Amino acid sequence: MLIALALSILFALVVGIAAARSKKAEAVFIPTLDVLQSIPILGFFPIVILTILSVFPSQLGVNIAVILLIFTSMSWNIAFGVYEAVKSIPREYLELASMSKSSAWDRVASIYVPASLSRIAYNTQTSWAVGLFYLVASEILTLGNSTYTVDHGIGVALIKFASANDWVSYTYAIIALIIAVIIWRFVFLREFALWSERYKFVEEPRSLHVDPLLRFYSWVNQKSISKLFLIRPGSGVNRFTSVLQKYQKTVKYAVVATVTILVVLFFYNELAIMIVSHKGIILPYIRLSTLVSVEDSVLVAFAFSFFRIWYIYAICVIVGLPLGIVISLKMKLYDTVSPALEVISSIPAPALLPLIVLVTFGSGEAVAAIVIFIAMIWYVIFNVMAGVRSLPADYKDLARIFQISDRRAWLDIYIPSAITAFVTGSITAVGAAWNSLIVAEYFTTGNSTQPLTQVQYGIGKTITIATNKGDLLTLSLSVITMTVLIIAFNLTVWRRIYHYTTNRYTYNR
Amino acid sequence: MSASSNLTLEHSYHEAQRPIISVEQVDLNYKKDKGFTPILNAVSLTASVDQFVAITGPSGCGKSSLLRIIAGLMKPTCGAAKYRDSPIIDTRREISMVFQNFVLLPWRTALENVMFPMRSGHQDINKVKEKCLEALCEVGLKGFENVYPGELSGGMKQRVGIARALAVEPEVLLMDEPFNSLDNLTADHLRKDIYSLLINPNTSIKTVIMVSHNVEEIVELSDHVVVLSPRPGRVVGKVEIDLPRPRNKKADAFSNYEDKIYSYLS
Repeated sequence: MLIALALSILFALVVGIAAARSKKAEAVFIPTLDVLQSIPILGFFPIVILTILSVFPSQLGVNIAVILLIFTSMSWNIAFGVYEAVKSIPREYLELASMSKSSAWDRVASIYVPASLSRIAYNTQTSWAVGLFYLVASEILTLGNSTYTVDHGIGVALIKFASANDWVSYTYAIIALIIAVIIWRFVFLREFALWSERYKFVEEPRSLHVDPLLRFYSWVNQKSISKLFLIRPGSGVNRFTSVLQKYQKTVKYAVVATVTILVVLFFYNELAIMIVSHKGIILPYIRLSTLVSVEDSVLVAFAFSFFRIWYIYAICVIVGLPLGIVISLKMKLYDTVSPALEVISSIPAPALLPLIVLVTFGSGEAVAAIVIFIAMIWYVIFNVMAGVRSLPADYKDLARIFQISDRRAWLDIYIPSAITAFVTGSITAVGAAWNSLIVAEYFTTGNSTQPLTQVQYGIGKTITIATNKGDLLTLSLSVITMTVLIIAFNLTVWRRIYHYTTNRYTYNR
Repeated sequence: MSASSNLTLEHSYHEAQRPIISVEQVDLNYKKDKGFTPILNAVSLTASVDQFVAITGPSGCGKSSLLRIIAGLMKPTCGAAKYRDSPIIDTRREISMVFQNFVLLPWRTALENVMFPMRSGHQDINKVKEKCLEALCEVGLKGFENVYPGELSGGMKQRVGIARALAVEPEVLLMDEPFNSLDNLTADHLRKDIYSLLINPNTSIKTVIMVSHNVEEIVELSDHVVVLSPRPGRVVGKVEIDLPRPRNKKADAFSNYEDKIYSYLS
């Protein structure tokens, strides 16, 4: 895990600095990073591990694969942090550097790296929690008839205990994990963050879990390609034309979406076969009928998963929005509750899976719901909390001076103040939910390929089963479908909501 | 007709005798670890009808805390702030406030911001709207009703803040460094308007209390100045400014008053 972290930071520094300093690198890296981070990593993992294993068989290969997975889950976030930090270095510093004729290396070592440190520290906190999730998820991986596991690791231990019905040891392992999380977060990461504070150029308000995806959106905005998708909200002067414009955009969206889907469907089979055979693995049993049925089930499964995620998202909103607001409005409550929440939130959901199974009496749908819920809720709560906390204290005075009723204060001040951060959190949350599906929908223990719990339909299940069977075709089809649909959804729905809220619900404009 | 005006005269005569706001021997301590830090020490002041009162002092002397006590946002450790002889224990409708940082809702138009504190429960919504439009008109923002704060300049934002404070028809208006977030030119402009805007027979406002550290601004606007010492804030001087309005900043009398306030400050 530490190796993965070190690799991530190194990667982030190189890519982040390059993207921030060179226009060409920016045009290539930023969109690429964004696509990479919005796709479900776990889905791609089996393909990667197969490739690596064919090069490095045995334990070495498995370890490399696990490190790679954790690396991919952590690095994008940190890279965006570096990019932002280097971008926001005040120009005077760079002018100073060029006036003193310092070398490129000097510039990197004495300006870019120190400038990025605080963002690296900050984003590492988020990345670490995410990484931990994948650590536990990836340590046990079943592929084909053989199971590849690393010899030692908390994930392995947990599943071993659970499948042996050894709940005492399981509890100890969980406690050990929690203690490790606490020590890591509050000793090491906190120190790192505090130490790096001094490298800040300006005091900036802290925001939690800022999704780089959104940075990408605003970046795309300035580019001409995006004009096709873009809504420019009118200044409210001419309501009628703006309404008309909105409908035009909707039609445009519909057309673009339909065309995209048709094109994808048309090339679907070819694409999948191409990818699979490119990896040097030609599947012996490709038949048209299989493809059609596979395609069917992938789309049906996706629809089920889509619905599942959204109803759980609704629950998260109902729970998380009021909870986040209440916690951050009360000073004392915030001080006691928020560190506790931080610890709880960094316990990876897969580690709790056996416990969840026990609690839900093995109902597949309930297990999936709980895992997805855990994957999403923290993003919603933490972002809402950050949003309300950034509300200037004056607004509370405002409500008191004019004796605004609690109900109106919530509706007119507190909820609107949290909206922007809430939307940011939602986008991240739904992304995390897609990722969690692979674990949530089809849960197997260690060595058996027989699931402990499963849902009836779901893309995560389809992917896991395909992984277990070593069925790369279905696997690729599922992952590609999922990726394309998620990106399409982000570009159309989320983008609109995000722009609307940032335009209206931001302070200090 | 004449009887009623007589009555009003007599009434206002009695009113003028009695301060609207009186702060009596107020102490304020912040708890700090095991001990406490004194912020204010035996502060007293009064504000009477048609008086524009300024509170000033070095940074950290507790002048904003004093204003918050008068607003009912904070409770003093000892002593009391009173509104017409009744202790201020919570915020009240008769006391309104203009904030340093405007504190407008970015998701509401100028008009909606002014209407925000109005209780539409008993009143006809159209009447409320009309009243708020009038308030916007008075502060010179006619035609900007449907503009969002983000599209307004700093000076205009503060005008919306003033209109909002006026619309609830308070008797006491508190202003916490109202010109501090504005650039010099804009602040100058708004200062020229504000006295006649606030203290005139058409408004409900009887007295204004302003916190400021800008001595020129204080001499330009106020009738009565209270100077506080560095922390803990005690009253080190009170100055009555008796100059005809509008006041000429270049007059000798003006700079004499400035010098007097500076002498208390240093």
